[in-house]
Amino acid sequence: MGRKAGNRRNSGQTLIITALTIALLILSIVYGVFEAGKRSEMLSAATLNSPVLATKLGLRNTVTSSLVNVSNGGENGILTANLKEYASIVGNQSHFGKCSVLFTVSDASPYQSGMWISWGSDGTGVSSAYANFTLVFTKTESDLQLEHTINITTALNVEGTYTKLEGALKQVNVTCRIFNEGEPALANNITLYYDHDGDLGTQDWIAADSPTITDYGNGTYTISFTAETQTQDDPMLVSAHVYDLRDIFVLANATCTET
Amino acid sequence: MSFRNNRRGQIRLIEAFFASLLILSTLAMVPSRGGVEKTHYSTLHSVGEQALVSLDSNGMLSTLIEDSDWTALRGCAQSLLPVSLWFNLTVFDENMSVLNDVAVSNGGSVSEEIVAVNYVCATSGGNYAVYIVRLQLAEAS
Repeated sequence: MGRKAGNRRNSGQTLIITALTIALLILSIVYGVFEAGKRSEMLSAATLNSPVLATKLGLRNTVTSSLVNVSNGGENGILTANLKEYASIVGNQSHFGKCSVLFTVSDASPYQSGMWISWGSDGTGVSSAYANFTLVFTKTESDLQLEHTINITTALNVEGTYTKLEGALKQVNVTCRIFNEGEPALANNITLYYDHDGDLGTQDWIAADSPTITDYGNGTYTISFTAETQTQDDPMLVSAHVYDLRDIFVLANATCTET
Repeated sequence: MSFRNNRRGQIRLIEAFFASLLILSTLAMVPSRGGVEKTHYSTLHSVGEQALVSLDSNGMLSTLIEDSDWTALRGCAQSLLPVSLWFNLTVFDENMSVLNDVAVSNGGSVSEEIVAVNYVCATSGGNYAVYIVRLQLAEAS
């Protein structure tokens, strides 16, 4: 009788331990399944990173190329044409899934067909391109839709002073500041001109002879040269023609102040 | 006494049911060969894409293609990819005509399956062009 009671007690304990073990096992399996699902989701999101980056990079290069073209005399419509070409080629590459590129070039003032070229006489010049994109990535495991904006802008600020020398000679000091997307940027080439008679109506620009250029390494350049205007009292008008490191052209005219 | 024996049989059945459930779910958790292969493919694909994005982000890729400097392109790919990988790079124009007249590859033999990465490279210079770069990757034997 005593042994039977002992067995019954042991049987109850074994059942509880077994139930606990089973509960633990079931919990760990549920957790394992959950983790595996999460890892799979992360993997599919991660595999889209490079294609997204590559497409954004390609679009940026396309917009930059169009701005280089337009700032060097090309037509504004080139941006739309280039973007259509890029979108068509990307759409045909379906190794990671389908990628569709939808775009709108900005026509909001001051942009026209996504381009804004403003080379003023007040010492500022701007060459800019602007477009909005919707990127749709369709993959087996995941879909992704991204809104993206690209604004490529090269801006130039020019200001200068001059000192009268003998006769019609003047010592001119000009400071040029270059910006890419609002940040100081380096120039690939700077050419400086001055107006011979100080009248913009005649457009008789003369290239500055043997200018001394100081590069401060932060997008600021000072250019010193000696100019000879038609008469001693002619105002000193200068024109800076700049190519930035992306080959985007920008120019700005400015009237130098006498010191 | 016979009633107790019957009940013990039912408990055994339930136990067996739970045990088989556990075994089946554990077996389902074991990563399949297909899954491993897919991971291997994704890894190689990702390595290739990252190398090409890295090469393109500083404008080097389009410059080397425009200059037809295939030797320098091979050197760049070699420096960006792990030495344990075999690679072969082919450059196409937008009409899918091959542009590189020499092999851009690190040579050697291949032990595993070959993974191909297609990359669309747009130039940023004044003369706009789009190239398709196909990078084939595999584990070197």
